[in-house]
Amino acid sequence: MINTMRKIFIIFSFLLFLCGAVYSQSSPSKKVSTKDSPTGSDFTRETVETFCRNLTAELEENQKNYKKQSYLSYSLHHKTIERWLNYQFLELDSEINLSWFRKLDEFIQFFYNTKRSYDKSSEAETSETKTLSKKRFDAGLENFKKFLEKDPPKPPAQRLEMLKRQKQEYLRTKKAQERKQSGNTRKLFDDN
Amino acid sequence: MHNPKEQGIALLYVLSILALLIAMALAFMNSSIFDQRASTLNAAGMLADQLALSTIDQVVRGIQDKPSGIDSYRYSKNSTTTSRDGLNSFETIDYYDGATPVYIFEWDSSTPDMKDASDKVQWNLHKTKINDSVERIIGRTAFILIPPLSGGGQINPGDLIQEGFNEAARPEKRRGVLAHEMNAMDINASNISFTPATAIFLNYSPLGVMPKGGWHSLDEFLNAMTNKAVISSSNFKDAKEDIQRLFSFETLKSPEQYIMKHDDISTTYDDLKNDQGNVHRFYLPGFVEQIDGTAVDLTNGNMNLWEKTDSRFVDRYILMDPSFSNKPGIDLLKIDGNYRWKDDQGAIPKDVTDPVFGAGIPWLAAFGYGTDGVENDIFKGTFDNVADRRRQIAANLKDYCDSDNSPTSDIDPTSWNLTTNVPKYTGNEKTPYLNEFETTTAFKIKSYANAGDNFVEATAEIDIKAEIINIYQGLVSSGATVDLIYTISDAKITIGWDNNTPEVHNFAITSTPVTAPQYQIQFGPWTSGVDTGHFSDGKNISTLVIPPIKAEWVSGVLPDTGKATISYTVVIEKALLEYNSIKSDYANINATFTLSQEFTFTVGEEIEDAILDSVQTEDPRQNLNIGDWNKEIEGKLKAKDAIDSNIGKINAKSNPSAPTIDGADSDPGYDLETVTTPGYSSTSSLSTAHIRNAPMLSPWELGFIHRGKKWQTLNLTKYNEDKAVNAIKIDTSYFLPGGGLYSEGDANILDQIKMTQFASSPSKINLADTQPELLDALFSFTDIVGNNSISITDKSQDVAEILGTGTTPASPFLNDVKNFINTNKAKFKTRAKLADNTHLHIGNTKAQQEELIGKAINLTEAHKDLQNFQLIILAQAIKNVGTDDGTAIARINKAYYDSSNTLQTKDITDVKLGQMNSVKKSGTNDSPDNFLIADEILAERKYIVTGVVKSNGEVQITNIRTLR
Repeated sequence: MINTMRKIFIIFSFLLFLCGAVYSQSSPSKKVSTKDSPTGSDFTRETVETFCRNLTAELEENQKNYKKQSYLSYSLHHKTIERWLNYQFLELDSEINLSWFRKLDEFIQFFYNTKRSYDKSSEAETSETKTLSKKRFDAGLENFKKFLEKDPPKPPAQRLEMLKRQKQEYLRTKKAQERKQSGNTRKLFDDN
Repeated sequence: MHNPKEQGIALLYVLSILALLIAMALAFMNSSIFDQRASTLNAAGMLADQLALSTIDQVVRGIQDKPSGIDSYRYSKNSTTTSRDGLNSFETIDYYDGATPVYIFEWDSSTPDMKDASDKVQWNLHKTKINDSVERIIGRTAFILIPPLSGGGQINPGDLIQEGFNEAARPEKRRGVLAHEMNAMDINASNISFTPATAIFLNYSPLGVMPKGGWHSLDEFLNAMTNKAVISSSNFKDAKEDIQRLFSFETLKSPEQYIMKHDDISTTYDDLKNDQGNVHRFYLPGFVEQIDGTAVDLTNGNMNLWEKTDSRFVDRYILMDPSFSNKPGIDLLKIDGNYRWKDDQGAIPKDVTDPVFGAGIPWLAAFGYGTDGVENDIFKGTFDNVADRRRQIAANLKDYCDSDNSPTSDIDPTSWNLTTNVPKYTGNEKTPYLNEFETTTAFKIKSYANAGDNFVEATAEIDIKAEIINIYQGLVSSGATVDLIYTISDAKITIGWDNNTPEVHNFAITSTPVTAPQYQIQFGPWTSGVDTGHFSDGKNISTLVIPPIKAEWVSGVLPDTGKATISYTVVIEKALLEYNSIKSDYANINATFTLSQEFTFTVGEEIEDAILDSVQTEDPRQNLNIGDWNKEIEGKLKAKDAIDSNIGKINAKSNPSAPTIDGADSDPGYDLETVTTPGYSSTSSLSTAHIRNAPMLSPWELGFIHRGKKWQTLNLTKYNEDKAVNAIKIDTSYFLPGGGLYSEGDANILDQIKMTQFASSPSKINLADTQPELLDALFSFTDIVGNNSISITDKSQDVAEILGTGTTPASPFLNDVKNFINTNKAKFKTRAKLADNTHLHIGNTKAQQEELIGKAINLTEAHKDLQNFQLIILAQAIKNVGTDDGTAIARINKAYYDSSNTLQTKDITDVKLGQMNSVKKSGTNDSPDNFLIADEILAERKYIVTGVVKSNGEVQITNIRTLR
């Protein structure tokens, strides 16, 4: 009986190991995040809101002028969000939960794929592919607007505190390095 | 001693004996004279017989050698003969049932041929020398050769009937194979015509009254028709004349041969009998058909030529180039004797190697050769040489007729690849075709200001798109994949703000590399394009995203403008289409697009557009070669230049009704089509877009065979008389010229093909000498384009497609058609001249205009020979009057009765041997009744001879009757 239990345990352990190996294979290695603002200036809640306002306006414009090629805009927006997501203090600066940005990116990728299928299609305007594309785009835009209407979720306070500390530490280190590189001495009263 | 009473008794005895002797002598003398007279008459009769027989020989020889045509032998002529006395004895009447007279030759006939003969026939004199200076006439002969009443062109009525079918029910389904596809009810002769009630008698017994084996004689036919009251006694004479004029009851068949002539080739009988230049036609259906009902095995390459898997099929079996010398390799004069035409007496070929199948098709084999025997390079089209183009045409023919969708090519399609095994010709199969390739480089450049800085970012995607086209009914795109090999080099975006150092960002190509920078990509599945029949797929080969580039201050100035340059060189090299896992289409495109597009951006500006480059073919049936593809869009911007992609749409230059023709093109002809796209739709398609994938059912289908040049299929609406029969010399070989300019037509090919597997076919309509009523049947529109379906198991699934277009001819159609043939019958060197009859070109498409020609041509023949004939010969033994020394007798007074039965006399002067001594009774009238002769007619014979002229010129006498 004990032997049997031992065998089952060994097999279970092996399977567990395999699952772990497969999982680790399918999961891309996490990119190295940056601690500098992706916008080149301070990243704020306003940055996000401006982006969303512009994106909504662009989506509405594309909806009106759907025949015009526009899918590559979403490619750039997607890259923008990618850069944001790569910013370590995104949640801290924007006070928006990371999941919200991922959801935003999902919307952008949806619009990219939907519009791309339309823009690249050689089918007739009345074809199923193009008709469906337009319908999906319209529905997607409606959902996107509803998504924006809701307040974005805030990051957990504990995490914000941790990020705040990390950012302060980073900025301190960074300024020190800058001073060192420029040859300036430490100020008498350092802001941080 | 002497008794006075007994005196004189001796005298009496003597006298008695003397009287007896005299009586005996007189009797003997009388007997001798009688015998002598009988002998003389017998000798004269024999002489007349001999003269008649020698005349038969003379006429037969004349027909056979026919150096100046049969017309020279229509009647005897002799310019030195003055007297025409007795020639009206030519009048010959046959009595049907011993009562009803039927003229074989009517002296005073109004029939032109008869009248011409009776006006012009003269005696030929036969003389013998009696000394050095004097000849004596021993006899004279005259003949009249009667072509079947008005000059031939008859058809055997039995050949109009198909065994097992009822002629009265119009069973015809016209394909253009045999004469029975005509209906006897369409023969509208004045004195003999058939209705459903009477046509039934034409059928084989027991349905009709035709005996098994067909009608054997005119009398048999007349009897049968009279018994069935098809002919009444009141119109018997006229009906018989019509029947004789329209029908032949000889067992003559139509030889399935084509003929080559040349000044160097003797055409005398002695040569013709060796069949020089007469060659078996090419058997177009190509399969051995068992006539006992055994199923046709169309899958066996030994029994169906088109299923042969021979790597050099087109050279060996169509182009007559067994040694692959890129030109006709057979001398039609020295061709294997088995390929020369000779009657096989209906023997079923053992397999497809039987020479009766023909050696090939000279029209295709010598495609590009003119009447000067020189191959003209202009006919190579887009191919490297003319030989490859003619192989392409032949391959198209093969692939039309074989069952598979694997193209005929110089390289086995299974070995085709995109790098080394590039075919030189590829037959058209019933598959989609490669039609267009396009590169699309979509890009967006976005520059903006943010927090006092200027940024530019960009992205670009390069796609390659492929388009296939379906021009045939019944195809779907789902089974198709396309592999493309292309090269892309130096693909990059160079971007930067003014006065800043530009950044270079290279595209990374995601296609499968072959040999850098060469890549391969596969297309499919397909989506339907904007235009019907067009299917497309696109693949992304590279995506490049350039993150924001911040403008750097330069000399205290922040740049707010910059430049981006997108550049690359793409070569669309070769493409290969597989359909249902069979490599079926190949395109050697080799189109290079070199791009270097510069865009200026200003801060706050977004530029989004797509750069298009496309290469398209025009006629997708001919898309193999570089020259078949055009760069239609080159470096144009979709939005800025308002240029739309053509993928999924009709190609810019792909309008069959208005194709682009280069002004320098020496062969600019093209098919007449009403559609504006080659793509198939349920309501329209190219009229010639048809691949049977089975043996041809009709010669019409030859018109669907693509000619290896855009928008050209074999043109059956034009005949080239110069290339019909006159041989050319290719190097030292005799051959026939082949196809050339589209505008000069390809109808000559119709002379070189046959639709039956035998050397001879049942009788056909002779276009060179025909009867108008038979043309009524030949061109009966109802039969030709009727809606009857053909049920021919195993031959094809889509036979309905050749059953007519339903085009309605203009009302004078039949008269116009007949007038053309009648007017031009002397010009019918060969049957294919029928194609020049523009009245047959009915309809608005190429296929429609060829339909009537294609469905009529194989029911016709064209020859000037008399097929069968009757020859009437008059022969007289003559006792010539005159002196042996040649001096003339001053005059002989000859008595005669005039028209009022009054005895008259007339002097015949200058009477001598060696001439017929005659005088006209009055005036200058040349009537035989107006001549008196001094010479004595010892005996006269009148012969009527019937015979036939075979296609090789040989004459066969079938009957000789002595009428007098």
